[in-house]
This record gives sequence, C-alpha cells and structure tokens, in this order.
Amino acid sequence: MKKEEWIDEVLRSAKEITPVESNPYLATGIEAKLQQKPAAQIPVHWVYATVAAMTIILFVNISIWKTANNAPKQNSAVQQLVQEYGWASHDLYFNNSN
Amino acid sequence: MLNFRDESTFRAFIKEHQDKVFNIVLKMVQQINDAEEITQDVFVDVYRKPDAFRGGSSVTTWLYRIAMNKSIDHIRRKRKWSLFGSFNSEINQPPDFIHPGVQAENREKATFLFKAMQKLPGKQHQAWVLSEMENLSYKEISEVMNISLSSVESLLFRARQNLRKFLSGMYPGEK
Repeated sequence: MKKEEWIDEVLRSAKEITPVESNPYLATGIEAKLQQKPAAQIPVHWVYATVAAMTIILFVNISIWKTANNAPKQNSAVQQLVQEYGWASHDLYFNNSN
Repeated sequence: MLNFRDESTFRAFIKEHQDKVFNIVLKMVQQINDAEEITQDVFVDVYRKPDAFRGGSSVTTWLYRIAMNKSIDHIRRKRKWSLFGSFNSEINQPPDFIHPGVQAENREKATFLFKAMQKLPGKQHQAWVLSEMENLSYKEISEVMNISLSSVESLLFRARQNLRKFLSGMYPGEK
C-alpha cells in the first residue's frame, strides 16, 4: 500500500469510531463531587498584598544586611591607614604640640 | 435557562447528556479515567452555574463548549507536567490509545490517528474532533468554539495538512 493511500485510510478511520457508553455510576460520582465543598479560593488582591509585603521585607532585610556588612569594612580601612602611617590618637596630639 | 428543581431532574439531565459529553472528552484526552473525571467536572459546573446557559445555543452545544475547554486545560496541564517530569517515562511516553469504539480491523489505523492528533495544536485538535469524529456541521463547530465559520474552515484545513505531515512520518512502510 502506498504512503498516500495509507494516510487517507488512517484519516478515514476517524469516521468509523462508534460511540461508547459512559460509566453507569457517573451520576453517583458527580453527586459525591457536589457534596464536597469547592476548594477555597484566596482572593487575588490578598495574593498581591502578600507578595508586596514579602518584597518590602526582603528589601529591608537586604539593605540592613548591606549596611551591617559595610560598617566594619569602613572602620577597618581607617584602622589600616592609622597603622600604616604609625598614627595613634595620642601621636596626633604629640605632633600638634611640636 | 436550566432549572434543576430536585435531584431526579438533575439525574435525568445527566443521563440524557453523559454519553455525548464522555465520548467527546475521550476523543480529546485519550484516557478513559481522565475522560470520566472531566465528564463529572462538566456536570458539576453545570449544576453549580446553571445561569451560565443563556439559551443562545442548544444545551448540547453549551455542554460541548464546557467539555472542550476542560479537555484542553487538562491536555495543557499534562503537557506542562511532562516537561517538568522528564524522569517519569510513563508521562513522557504515554501508551498508545486504543479507543474502545474502534472495530478490530481498524485498530491499528485508529491508533496511528490518535497518536498524530496528540501533536495538533489545541484549536485544530478541537475542530478536527468536532468535525471528523463527532460529525458536527461548521455552524455547530463555530458555536461550540465561539469562532467564525471561516476560522473553522481554516482550522480544519490546517489540521488535515498537519495530520498528513505527522502521519507521513509514522508510515510503517510497504506491506
């Protein structure tokens, strides 16, 4: 059988499918589903509000974390400079008096 | 407008339409258990929102519309999961669907057809099932799918072209 003929036959087979009977207990299943409460749906505006609040909290946390990390660094840079030039706080007073 | 006064009225409504809904859903989702589940969901929706039927078309058309939308949602969800669940070979390679209403001599051909239909885009898939398998007129299809007649024609033309292309790749060879 040639390819095109085979394809035509396969497509024609769509017309030769007989309807089947559905499950006789389908109605019972439907009634059981109706007994269940529909799944509670969270209102969309609450979802948006929660996402916004979480984002704000995240940003605040990041900014606090960054500030906390930067502060010791600045101090240590000053300390390093003081050590490199041999400046102690009393040295400054000593130099001024001369 | 639909009015289910009591349980028996609703049961009669289900009995009248359940086979039609089940058959169309089965041809879309190609899985008996899923088709039963979706059919139940269709009637649950009908019971909970009978006002959604405004009488512009027949009840059957309206039921087909709900069934089609639910089937397409189900297929989309399944495809999404198959993308995520690459470890699950059963989802990635579903077994060949053998429709219970196919005669033994046509079984092989119908299996190829259902396999090719899985590759069709959603709208083409719907139009093909409604036209070629359910024998609905173009007008009825346009009402179910809420599209124009020319769109129906175009969808069916493209569906046929695509199916030919897919089947061409599945040709088992000369016998």
